[in-house]
Amino acid sequence: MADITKTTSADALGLDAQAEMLKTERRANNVWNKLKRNKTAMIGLVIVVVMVFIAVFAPVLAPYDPNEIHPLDAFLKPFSEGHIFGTDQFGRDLLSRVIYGARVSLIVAAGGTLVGGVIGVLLGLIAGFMGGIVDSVIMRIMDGFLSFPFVLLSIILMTVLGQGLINVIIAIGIGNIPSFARVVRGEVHIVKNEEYCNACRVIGVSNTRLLFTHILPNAISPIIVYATLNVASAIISEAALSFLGLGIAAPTASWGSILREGKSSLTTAPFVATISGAFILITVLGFNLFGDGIRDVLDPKMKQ
Amino acid sequence: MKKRFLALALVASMCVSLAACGNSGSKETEGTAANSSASETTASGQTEAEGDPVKGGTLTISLSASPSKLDPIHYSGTYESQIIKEVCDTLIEYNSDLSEYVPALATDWTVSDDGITYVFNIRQGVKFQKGKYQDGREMTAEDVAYSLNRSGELSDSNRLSMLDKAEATGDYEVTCTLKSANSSFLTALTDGGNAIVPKEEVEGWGDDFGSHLIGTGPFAMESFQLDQQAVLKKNADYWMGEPNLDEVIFKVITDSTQAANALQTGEVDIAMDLKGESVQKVKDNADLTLLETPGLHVAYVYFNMEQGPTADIKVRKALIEAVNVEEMVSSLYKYGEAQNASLPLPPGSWGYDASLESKVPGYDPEDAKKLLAEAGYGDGLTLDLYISDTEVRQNMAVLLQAYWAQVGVTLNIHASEWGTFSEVAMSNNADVYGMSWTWYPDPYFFLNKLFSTEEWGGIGNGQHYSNAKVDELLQKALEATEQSDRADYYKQALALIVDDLPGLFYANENVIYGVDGRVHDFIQRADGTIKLVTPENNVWVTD
Repeated sequence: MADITKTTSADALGLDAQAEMLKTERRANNVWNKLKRNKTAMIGLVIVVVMVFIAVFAPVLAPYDPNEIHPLDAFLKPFSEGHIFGTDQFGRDLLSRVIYGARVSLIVAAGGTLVGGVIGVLLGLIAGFMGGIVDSVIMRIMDGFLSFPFVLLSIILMTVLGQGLINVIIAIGIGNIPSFARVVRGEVHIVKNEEYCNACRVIGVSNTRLLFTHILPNAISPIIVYATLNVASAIISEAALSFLGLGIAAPTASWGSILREGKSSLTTAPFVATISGAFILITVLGFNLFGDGIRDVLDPKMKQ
Repeated sequence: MKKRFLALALVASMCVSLAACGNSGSKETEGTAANSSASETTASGQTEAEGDPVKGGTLTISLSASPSKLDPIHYSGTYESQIIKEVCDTLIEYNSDLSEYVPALATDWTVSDDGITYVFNIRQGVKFQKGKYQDGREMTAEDVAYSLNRSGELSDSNRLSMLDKAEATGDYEVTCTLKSANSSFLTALTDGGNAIVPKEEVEGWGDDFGSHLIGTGPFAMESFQLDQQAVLKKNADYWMGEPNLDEVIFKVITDSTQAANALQTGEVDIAMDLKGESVQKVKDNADLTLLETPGLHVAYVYFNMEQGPTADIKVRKALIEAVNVEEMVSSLYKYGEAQNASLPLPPGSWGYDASLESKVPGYDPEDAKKLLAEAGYGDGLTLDLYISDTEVRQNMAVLLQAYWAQVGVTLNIHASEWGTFSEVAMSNNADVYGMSWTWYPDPYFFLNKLFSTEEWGGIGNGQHYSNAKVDELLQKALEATEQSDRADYYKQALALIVDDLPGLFYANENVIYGVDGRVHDFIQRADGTIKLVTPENNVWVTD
């Protein structure tokens, strides 16, 4: 009895230590902790978090109604009394417009990525998994989409759909579908021939179950990386559409529409375009740094 | 990875360059809004004519839209008529301040007492430019009759719809018979759409005649490239005398900023239709002259008179009272490119009556709210506004939206390209429309086109304005022959129209050109047409 107890406690002690070691190692290799060690990724994350915070709390943060006009106070320079960023051509407070613009720009970027991501991932999964004729048909259609320059495709869609928040999201979303499908299809091709997938097939797991509970989770990391980086390009797409006057209807502010309005006063009031352009730049930079960081963490092959 | 950093670098450099613009432009930011609109409106309509005219040289003019149809009966925009009116002549012309008719291809004319028959004596010895189908033969009464009948029957824009027939009644005499008395006939004859063209060329080229336009004008068409440029060479045999210029090039530059830049670099000598910041740019440049003259132009917002909330005059009054026109105009035209307006007729028209200005409701948002409540819209009201997608119209819409929001009116803005807009506006499918109108000083071209019941379904009276008394007065004005009588009728009609509050008429835009210092003897006209050789001037350039 005593012997047994002794051995058990000794074993237990060893196991505990082992478990402790394992835990430490896991913690160190935990995605978040790895990410924390990546300084540029953290800078990106901070920028992203700040921008999201600004967008979410826009009504609290903005000092004025972004659409309130004061035609006689047009083009007040930055740091004028009550207007840190100055005012635009209608005397609207630029700070408030940039803050509310963050909302529109981020919603459109995230929404567009989500729409494109969901549809693209589904198509990619099906194409990669089924292979053969289904694969060819889906991917050739995707190639067809890709043969249009992205902006041209969005412009055509916006002209057909008309202005509006939902329509911009749809336009950018549709433009995003093919690249998501490509990324996912490639990944599925690798994953579907893994041992565990063959094992699943052997024990009679249904295709749907195999696809969504085994293949998708194992193909998710490139999707996350691609989606994060894609938000950045979606912000630029939204700005491009708004700049061309095809984005959100006036007077709603988005960074692109502020840039557009600033264009006609580049020599008299350059700050209008500069400030909104700077916000686009910083946010895009943030998402790119963060996305790069995530990739470094999720993709072991990228380790130096 | 590499690609993305490249993209980032590009964005970064874009922002840096924007910031660089910021530095160089910062001294100018002081001279914005309030300052510039009030102070220096150097309104002069002419460049100096001193010194001896120099023969030769090329004049380059930028057009703000791309001309495509140069056949007189098919043209639709003023930018097209600029070219037509250099290549071709009309029977009669306006003088440069548009105050009276002057003879052109017709030397004189008589009107019958009933105002139906016009007899024109045609100038002798005028030769057409050489073309593929004739070698510069003399223009005759037959050509005049042919051209006028052609326009009367085929003009896309009904530019001579009042004409019944034109006949050559002598070697140098043409008799025109109208369908009914119409005093706007002579004005219509000054239009480039009713220019005199040779039959052989028209029939020889067929649908291609526009690209090989032939007339009797001071310059002959050398080449025409769609969306690029039209090159004209001087017609040394011009009946009015030899033009000073050797060559005239009309270049298409649609963006006002680009046009101003082209003017600064010397790429063009005259930049037309300048707007916004480019006005200031030209003003600041000592080598350039800014020509600015009040245009025959009205910018307005008009209401659906037939259906919807705006069919109620109380709502219309409230909507007008909710807008601070003075503030709006100073915001839209920061460089003084327009004057405040209140009537549907520009002050430059001889039917204008300043005493009516006070009848238009002024800015009074409190009263507007009261009126809306009385009309049953105390809880708010949603309206749809249609505009074409030009910058000045879109800015106007944003301001209108803000003003109307203050009295509880929600405005949805629908901006589309001109084709879609004009379709909606002609079919009267919305509540409010924003547009502008510009034509001749004859009030007919404003009041009849905008308010006559006959014009329902046209772009002018798409709102379905109809007032039997106004129709009657407008008809009387057409039948009267004396200008003073006609002005009287138009003023009476205008008074009735103003009482009906059919729209908010907010601005008269100026005609603004930037002109290089090397251009001499150039006269700007309020209707925006460019005439390089007239009895009053013959433009010349120095190097």
